[in-house]
Amino acid sequence: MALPAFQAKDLVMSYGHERVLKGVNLTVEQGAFVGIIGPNGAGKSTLLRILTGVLEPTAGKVQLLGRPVSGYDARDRARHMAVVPENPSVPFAFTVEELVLMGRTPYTSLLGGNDEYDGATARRAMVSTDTLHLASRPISNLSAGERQRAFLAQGLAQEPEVLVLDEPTVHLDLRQRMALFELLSCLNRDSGITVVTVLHDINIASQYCTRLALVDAGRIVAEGPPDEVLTREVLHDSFGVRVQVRPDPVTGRPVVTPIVHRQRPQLTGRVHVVCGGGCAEATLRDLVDAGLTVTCGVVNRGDADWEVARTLEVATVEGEPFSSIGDETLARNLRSMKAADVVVVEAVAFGHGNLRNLEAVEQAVRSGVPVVLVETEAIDERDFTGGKAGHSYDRVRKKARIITSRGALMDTVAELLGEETDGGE
Amino acid sequence: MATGDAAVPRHGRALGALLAVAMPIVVIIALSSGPADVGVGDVASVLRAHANLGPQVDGTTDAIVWDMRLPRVVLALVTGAALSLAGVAFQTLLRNPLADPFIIGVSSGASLAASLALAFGTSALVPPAGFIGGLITVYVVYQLALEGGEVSVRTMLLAGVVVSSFLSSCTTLLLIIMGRDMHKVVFWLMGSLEPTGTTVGLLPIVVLATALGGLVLMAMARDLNLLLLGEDHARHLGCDVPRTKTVCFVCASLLAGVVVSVTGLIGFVGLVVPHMVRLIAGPDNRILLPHSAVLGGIFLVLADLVARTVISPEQIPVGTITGFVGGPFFLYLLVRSRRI
Repeated sequence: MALPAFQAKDLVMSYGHERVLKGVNLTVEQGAFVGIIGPNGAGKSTLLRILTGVLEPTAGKVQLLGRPVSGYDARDRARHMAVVPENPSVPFAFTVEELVLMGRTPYTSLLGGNDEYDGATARRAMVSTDTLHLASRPISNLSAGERQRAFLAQGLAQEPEVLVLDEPTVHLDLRQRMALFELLSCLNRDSGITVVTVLHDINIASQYCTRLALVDAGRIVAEGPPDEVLTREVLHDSFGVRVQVRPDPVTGRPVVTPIVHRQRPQLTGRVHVVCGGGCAEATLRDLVDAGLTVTCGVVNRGDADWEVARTLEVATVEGEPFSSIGDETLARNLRSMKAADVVVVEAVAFGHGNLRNLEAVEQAVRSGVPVVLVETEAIDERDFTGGKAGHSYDRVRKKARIITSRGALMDTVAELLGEETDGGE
Repeated sequence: MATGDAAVPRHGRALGALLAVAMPIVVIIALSSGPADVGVGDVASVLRAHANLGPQVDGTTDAIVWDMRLPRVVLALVTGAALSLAGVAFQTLLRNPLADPFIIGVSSGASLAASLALAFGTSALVPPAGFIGGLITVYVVYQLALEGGEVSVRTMLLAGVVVSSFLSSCTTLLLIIMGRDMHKVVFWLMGSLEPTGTTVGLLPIVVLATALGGLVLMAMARDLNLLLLGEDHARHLGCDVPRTKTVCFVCASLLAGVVVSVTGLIGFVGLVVPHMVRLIAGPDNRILLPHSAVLGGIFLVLADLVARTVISPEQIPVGTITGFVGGPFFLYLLVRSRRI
């Protein structure tokens, strides 16, 4: 069993009366690619500075590859761990090559020069970071992205087992971010270098890191693979924003999208939405943002609209994935519709699985609940029941309000809610 | 992309060769210049005679070249080397090309301590007093310039100027109370390489201190390079930061303090010389330190040559000459660093 790259035990860090870290435990196994994420001021950088031995913790211990990090001789430590600084600056005109060769310092004797192996190692590091063509350029003339790569090359020239980075994406554009993390991934996978990085960009963290540690208010509040750490609840608690978390269709890693709240005219009432397959995201958002009580169903568990409803905390009548709606579910859905002031039927495709939603709508219409049909696509195009859905739909259509563009939805709902109120008087 | 793509010049070897040729030429010119009419040929004869390679030379010529001018030239070489080395060391410690023993106040601290040693002790105490005075001053200025763990360049320059002017006032007062005439006071405050009995006696100590400080700095050149990347990062590259900084401060104070204790305040050498070497050979301390030492020596020999010949037979303090060159140069660097 290999020793962990880092093992931090009960780290406490205080500046005066302020406790920046309040008992942090973290183990980073060798070969891992760990992202340290969290809101600003949570203690991420402090944690990193303690892990790398720059800061001495107020209490607690850090081991680097099984030995106390502060117990290393500086040269020895530099042979095991390289650190890429956040916003490196160099006061004099060192060239990239000179900078990278400095990464060989821990291997050279007091008066010895750089030998052939040092030169070859530096060159390899420049090749893998795509900085070889910059070799004779002064650091001060490089762009932020190039400078970052030059310092990364320096770190690689140290031939470390552990590579630590502090906010490496801050000054990089999208393409440079991707390139940097592709490279780090590659180093991690092919050379087995353990990578530990503090990151602002949660989605980059999710896509590339094998494990994440979420630091909040001086503690690690979640630690594990990205799909365990990046959940709606955890992110809401730490960052104080509502987010949507969906798996990336290709990598399966979670993608986090913050939910933007818009100012809308506020309405009161209750609306039930018939939806499925991901067509209702905008509708559900609009209704929720307008302050309405929203329900939906029947939507199968795992369906895209089911995810959206969950994120928006919309009460949902759930069905089993890929199965038809049972009697009991139908009854519950009907109760939900009858309790609503308006029922909205999205332009959803109907198959045998969700045909009974139309059955429920028909009954709701009969008992006088106003219904809005969103017809951005004709029913013939989305009837996969050999006409059964079409017939049912046509019966509903006679008594429903029909809109052909989504833009008209909110006005129609507002109008129907108004009539409802008038009728009640 | 116009200037950005340009490779930076690295002509360390060419510079080394140039300096190796230039130094003996400059030394011989300096030895043959002065109020007394001594030619290059006479200088060569005197040097040959003392190396046991030629016949004895006439007594007066020998005395002028060997006893009067040579100690002065050697002192200029060593002082120029020491001030340049100290400049490089302070620039590295402060990560700023504007640092110089004169500007950050080290020289005036050394000068006051040396004056005190002369007033209340013996001449043998002068070099160690200069060293300790310089060390204390640099420590004070550095502490003043620290703002939350970082050295603030602005505060450093201000603190240096203020400390420097305060200490120079103390020195002036002390010298006047001691009954020195104003002429001597001015020469002490503006720096002079005029060989007096004391100076010649202390020359071996100055040479020894410069050699020691210079060699230790050169042995640490690699670690000094790392320090230029910032203390945290230097640590990550294997530099023992506290030890390197301490040794570097001590060496720089030794170099500046000991020469200043003998020559008085000679400014800007440590600023101009390393900057010129960097332009030609790059900022790598392994190359910068030795080349700055040699160029600094040549620079000060030439400055002293001007100081003692320009209104001959009158002499002007050599610090005036270096100030003439260094002051505008400092302003140029300051303006440029503000633009970047």
